[in-house]
Parts: sequence; C-alpha cells; structure tokens
Amino acid sequence: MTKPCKSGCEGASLRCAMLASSPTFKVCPGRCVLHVLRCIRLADFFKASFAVFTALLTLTLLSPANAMETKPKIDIGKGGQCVKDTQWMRRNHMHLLKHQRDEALRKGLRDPQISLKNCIECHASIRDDSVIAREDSFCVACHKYEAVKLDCFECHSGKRKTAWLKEHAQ
Amino acid sequence: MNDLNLQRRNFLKTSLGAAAVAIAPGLMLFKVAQAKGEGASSKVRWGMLIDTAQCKPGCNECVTACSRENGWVNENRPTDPQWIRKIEIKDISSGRELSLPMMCQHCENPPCVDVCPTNASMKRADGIVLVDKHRCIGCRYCMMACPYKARSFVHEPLHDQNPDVPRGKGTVESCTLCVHRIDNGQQPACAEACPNQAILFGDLNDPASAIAQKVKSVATTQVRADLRLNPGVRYQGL
Repeated sequence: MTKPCKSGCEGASLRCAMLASSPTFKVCPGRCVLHVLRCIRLADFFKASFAVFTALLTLTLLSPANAMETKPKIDIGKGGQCVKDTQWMRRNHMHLLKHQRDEALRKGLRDPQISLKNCIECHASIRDDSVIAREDSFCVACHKYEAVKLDCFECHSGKRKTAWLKEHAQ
Repeated sequence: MNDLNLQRRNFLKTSLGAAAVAIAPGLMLFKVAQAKGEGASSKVRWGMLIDTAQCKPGCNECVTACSRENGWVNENRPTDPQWIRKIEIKDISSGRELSLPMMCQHCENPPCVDVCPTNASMKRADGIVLVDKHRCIGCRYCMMACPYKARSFVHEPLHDQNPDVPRGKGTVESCTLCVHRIDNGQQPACAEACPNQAILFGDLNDPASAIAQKVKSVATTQVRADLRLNPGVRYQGL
C-alpha cells in the first residue's frame, strides 16, 4: 500500500494527477481507486468504509427503539419449564407436538406432560385464559413475528381447560 | 503423505461431529416423546350392547349427553352433525315398535377405513374407529362408504370447542366412543347418561366383563350383520 500511485498522486488522498491526462479512466494503474473527481489510496478507502460500517452497526445495535421493535412481545402466562429449556422448545416444539399428536390419536399413547392441552394450561394468558386470543398471546406473538401460519387452533381449543370447564359448568 | 493423512483425519472428525449434531435433536425428541402408559392395546375390544327393551321411545338423553360432551349442535338442518341419533322402527306385519340409538358401530372391518385415501379414517388397536383430522382432507368417501350413515361433515368454522374434543371445519367426524373418556378410565357419555341403563359399555374380549357375559348369555344382533363388518356395537331384542 505504500507504493506511490503511478499517476503522481503520491499515494495520498489527493486529487489524482492522472485526471488531467485521461478524465474517463476509472482505475489508477497503481493502487488507487479513482473516482471521477478524487483519487484515494485503496487502503484509505477500505479504512473509511470500515469506519462507516462500524458506526452504522453500532448505531443499529445500540438504538433502544430499534431493539424493542424487533423482538415480539409475548404474554407467557404462568410460564415455567416442564419439558425442555426455552431455546430447545423454541426450535423443536413443532416436532414434539406433531409426534405427540400421532402417538396420542393413532396409538392412544397419551403423555399428559407433552400434550397440547398441558402446554396451554401453563402458557395461556392469565388475563383471558387463551394462547390465541390477542396479538401478544403466547402462540400468536411469535407466529405472527415469524409469519408462520398457525392452524392447530382451527380444531383445537386455545383455552385453558380448567377455564373452559368453569365456563361450561352449567 | 503425512499431510494427506492429517486431512483425512480432520475430515473424519468433522463429519462425525456433524452427524452427531444432526442426530442429537432427533434422539432427544424420541426420548421426550416416549409416552407414558401402554396406549391402546389389541387385547381389548371396546364395544356396546344396547338393550332395545330398555330404550324408551321419545327419550333423547343419550343424544343430549353426546352433544354436550363433544360440543356438536344439531338444529335439524341437513348438514348438521349427528354423532348419535335416535331412530324409531316398526315391523309392519306385527306392528311391533322399537326405539334405539344409532351411531358409529366401530366395525372390526370398517369400510370407512378401506376407502380413505389419506389413511385419516383409522381403527385403533382397541377397536375404536376414529378420524385423524390432521390427515382428513374432507373428501367424504367414508361418509358414502358407511352403511350406518354414522359420519357427518363439518361445514362451518367452529369456535370454543371442548379442549378434549377437537373439531374443525373441513373434516369428517363421528362417534369416537368418547375415546378421551375411555383413555381416562371413564365410560362414554351416552352410556353414563342413559336413565334406563339401556347402554352397556365394556371390553368384549374380557370374558369377565359384564358385556362379554351378557353377549354370551342372551341373543344379540349386529345391524347389517350380512355385511360381515363385525361391529363392536350390538343390539339386544332387535
């Protein structure tokens, strides 16, 4: 990078002398990137772009308003962890539910701990006893954020069973 | 040469690691999903014996109980669901009148299962015939195939279903023998609700059960026995 530009700009970010001789020339024969007006050393060019990139990234990451917008707000209900840790569940809950539904329906192997009903029992909102009633309900919040269609609840009840029984007691 | 060996070793290490990472979640899933309990067993054959002498004309208790338990409503429109219905029959020559409930007969060789193109219509090991609504595409072949007209189709979107009984638009449904209650050690809602104990529920395969003993001692009939479907629901005094 220390090699001076053959066109005479001496490697500094100065006006490239080559402009005078050939205004349409795009790249200096040396190590310069030639813009129409200015001839900048390649190293300087990279340094400058890195600085701009870092500044932008820092701004994006640090901006509190931005961070709030990108994460879904979830009403986790009672919450807790009875099957696996949160990260595992986020990644694999669909496989678990799909596996469980076939076992339960076709073989009669009902495992109360990993049944959809049990998920709902803890994760339904304390406010309205549902995992689907609002925009920030447990299932809806993430599925809306990820734009994944949720069709379990076209047949299954999204209500906590205890609440449903209370409602339908008579 | 040495270099080559090193590369090969590294390659093997990496691929082993990748394989482990790929398999691990599956194994974990399998471990978690290994359900407790036995599940439906083929040693059991759930069935019902309906005593037509005890079934009173005009009484609709079993139908009401089923409707409440499973959350279906029949308002007498042609497309309304009917998991169970009361029918009145009359022998024209003798004038003898009978009233009896008709529902899915839980056949041993169910025609609904034979015709289903997606394997949604299925028979559990313990003889209960069910619709796997996860697979049902709503083609209604099974409704056509059923000689008992036991199945119905959900035409409208549903809300507020019983958490134990998922039902949804675009799928076929029928009597499940209250499978959620059976798996919980209870008997079906209709059998429990009948004021005259006309419906006897139990395991046909267990010689000690009340139903098996009664089937052994009194004359019982299967509806359309000529079709040789061997229904699990039997009628006495038909």
